[in-house]
Amino acid sequence: MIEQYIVLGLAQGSLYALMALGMVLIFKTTDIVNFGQADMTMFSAYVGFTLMVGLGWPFWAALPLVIAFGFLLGIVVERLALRPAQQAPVVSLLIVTLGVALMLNAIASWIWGFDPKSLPYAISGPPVVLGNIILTRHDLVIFGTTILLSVGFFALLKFTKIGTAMRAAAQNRLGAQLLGIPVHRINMLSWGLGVALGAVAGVLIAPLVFLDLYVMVFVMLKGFAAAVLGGFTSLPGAIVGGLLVGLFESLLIAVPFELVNQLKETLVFVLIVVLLAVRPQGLLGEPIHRRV
Amino acid sequence: MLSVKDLSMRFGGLVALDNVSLTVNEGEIVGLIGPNGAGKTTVFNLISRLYEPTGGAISFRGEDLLRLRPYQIVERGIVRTFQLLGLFPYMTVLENLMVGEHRDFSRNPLEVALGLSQARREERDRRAQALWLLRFLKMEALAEAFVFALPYGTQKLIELLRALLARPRLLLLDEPVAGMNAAEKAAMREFIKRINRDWGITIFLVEHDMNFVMGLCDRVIVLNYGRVIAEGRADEIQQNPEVIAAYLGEGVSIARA
Amino acid sequence: MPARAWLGLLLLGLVLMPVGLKGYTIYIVSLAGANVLAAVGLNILMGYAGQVSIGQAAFLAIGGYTSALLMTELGLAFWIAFPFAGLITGITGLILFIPALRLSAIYLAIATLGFGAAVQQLIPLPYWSAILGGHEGIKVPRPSLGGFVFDTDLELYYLTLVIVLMLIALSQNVVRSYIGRAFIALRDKPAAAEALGINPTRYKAYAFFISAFLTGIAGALQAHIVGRISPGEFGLGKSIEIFAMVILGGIGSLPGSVLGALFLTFLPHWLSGAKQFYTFAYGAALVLVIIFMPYGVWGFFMRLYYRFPALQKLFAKGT
Repeated sequence: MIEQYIVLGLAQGSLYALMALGMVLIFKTTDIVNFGQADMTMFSAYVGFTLMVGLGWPFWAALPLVIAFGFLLGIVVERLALRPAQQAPVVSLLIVTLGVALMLNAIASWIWGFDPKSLPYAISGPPVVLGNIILTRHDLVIFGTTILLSVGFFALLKFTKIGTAMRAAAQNRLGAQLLGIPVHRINMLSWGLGVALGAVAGVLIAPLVFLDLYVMVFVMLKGFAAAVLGGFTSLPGAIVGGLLVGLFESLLIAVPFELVNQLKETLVFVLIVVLLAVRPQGLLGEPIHRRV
Repeated sequence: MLSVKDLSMRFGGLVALDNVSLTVNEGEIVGLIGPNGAGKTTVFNLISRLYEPTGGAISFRGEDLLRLRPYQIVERGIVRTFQLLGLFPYMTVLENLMVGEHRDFSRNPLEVALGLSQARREERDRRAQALWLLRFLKMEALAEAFVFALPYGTQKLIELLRALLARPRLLLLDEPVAGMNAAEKAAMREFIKRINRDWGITIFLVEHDMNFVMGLCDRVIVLNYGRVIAEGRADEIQQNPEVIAAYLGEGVSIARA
Repeated sequence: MPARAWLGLLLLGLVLMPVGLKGYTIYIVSLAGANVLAAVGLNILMGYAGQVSIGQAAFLAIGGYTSALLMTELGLAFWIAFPFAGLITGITGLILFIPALRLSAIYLAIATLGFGAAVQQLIPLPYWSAILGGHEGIKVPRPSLGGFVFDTDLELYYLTLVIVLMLIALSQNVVRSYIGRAFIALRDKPAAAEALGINPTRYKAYAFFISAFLTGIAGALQAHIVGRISPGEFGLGKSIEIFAMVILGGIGSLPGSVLGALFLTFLPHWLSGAKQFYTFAYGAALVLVIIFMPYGVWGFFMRLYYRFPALQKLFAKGT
């Protein structure tokens, strides 16, 4: 029984991990916490809905387009909203991301209305039974996509020229600029990739819930919490944090007390705060040195 | 007055200080010199309790400093300045100076919030005190200026004034004349001599400018690779072959002084 | 004209403002007053002490419920229940101060976010719905002093005005004192601040207490003006709204927070004619304000003020 909860928790956690990865990527290169991640994810999921339900495309055909859409959305947001506001302090940029989120929310309501939508699973068919664990095929897709994306992502950062430039910009913006790295283009790229990661998470989550204008806010908050748990500047930390949050949440459901279930959201945060009190830099974050 | 015994500090595998012992006597002006990375600022950071030493003891007027928290150090009469400026950039000069007087504010938050006359008088008195010091140096025109807009040398001087307002017995100065021109340096040297002589404040300073150190300090301690390699009067130090070797390694001659 | 005269003029304007306004508008102005206190409370925490909080709505809820319950359940008079609600909220603010001792900004954001979520989830639980009223919430008695009950929009406006002005004055006293300087010192150069004798634990506690106190009072005020309170009002959206008020007004200046709170309280009403464009326009307004006024409305005014000497003469110091 407990294995089932663990596996389901990891599946849920993979989605938080993708969300967290997107937010960490944007934060690492631009210092901005993207509070619009939820609405960007929501919007991308709606695009997936139009492709898959409206036009009847199969999941595998729709996915690349959704990713491309997310990437483009990220780039547009960086170029049109954040770069013009770059003089403002970073806390203020948080409000800019929030403003963008509200605008996207409004546009989504004009196009798709307020009624919840349901999206199809990536693959339908009977569930897979492994010992005493039952998994839907969609769960397998979630695992597969998360692993693929994480590995691909680290390969991109580690082994490509653009990845090296991104890491350099994340570590020392001014230094990177002096070395001739086009920091603006790096910022745009981070936004593109960060939002695209959210878009993938969005089309994978949407079939598990009813897609509406607000459902992704909760996913984003978990993703944010996961990212912080992982250290907020660490990409592997984001994934570990996401999996842990999903796992913890799932195990809480297994606890047979009603109160625990009612306070599920709260307890996730309590866990994170307790963990952070013990390890203030997060699980995989670098220790914060006191600057004199 | 200040006694440092067998002080060691390691950052990870890096040994910043290795069994450093030194003393500063009441009324002295002592210079701490050494090549870059010798551990001078680390000594100051340990005395002001920003770091926890990996070994050794620090005592001040017989009291063990290692038992105190950083904010309690000033109450014992030790005040410091910072190498890269410890001024608060978004405050005016006057406000910065008034933070120096922090421990003289005794009215509780409720009295302050309600604007009771004692609290207002306290604020007024402290302001007058800070203004007096500015006027003493003919700098009252700067009172309302924001710190970040001032030249580096002026900022250094203001940080020193702020430290004075905290009523030090021992003043730790971390590179007090960095970024100053010759005239400013000369003025700073006279000013430090004066606060030492007239106000009875003991001075312990770190400085790179050898002329400045040699013309000011009663005694000089030389640090290299985290160890004390020499100690003595300025003229003795200049003849010390080990010191010359340490500095030659850096390509800087101290013989000119 | 000296600053004091401008202040007098402003005060006169505030006293005369309800003349010719509709009751409903006066009611909205009163609610804006409550938001002003919440924004000032967050600004002291965030702008001065440098501690980020995105859970301030929880303090509104605690203040509102406490004031209401002290009156209905314990039968206390308004003038006792109301300040007490602020005090109790201030003390709960110290709960957040504990993680703040160890966590840096981004982690504190999570802790405060969690605190906000926790309070909103705890209030409607069935275990205490007899007192807290579950999701429905409870009715809140009208404020009264002696035998006088404040029950018209106009009376509530004047009560709000007095409370808000008084607390802004007290807050201004604090931020302009050694306490405010200690907040800024710890925010900008913690090592230098400590070396001058500022105890970080103590001043962080002060900041959290003051912030929660003001926000608690704001919550109580709002509850008494509306006459009802329910947990739905105090979600993440409200916390973020207060956050936005502080940023838009200008971080680190109390007059800025006043403007930010007024602006964001009235914006929905100005946009209410726009119907389906409302959310879009609201979002666009947030983006545009930051693009054109990176340091908020107050920062923008300050820039104009230093740019044009004529303005400086107009507000010449004269005390």
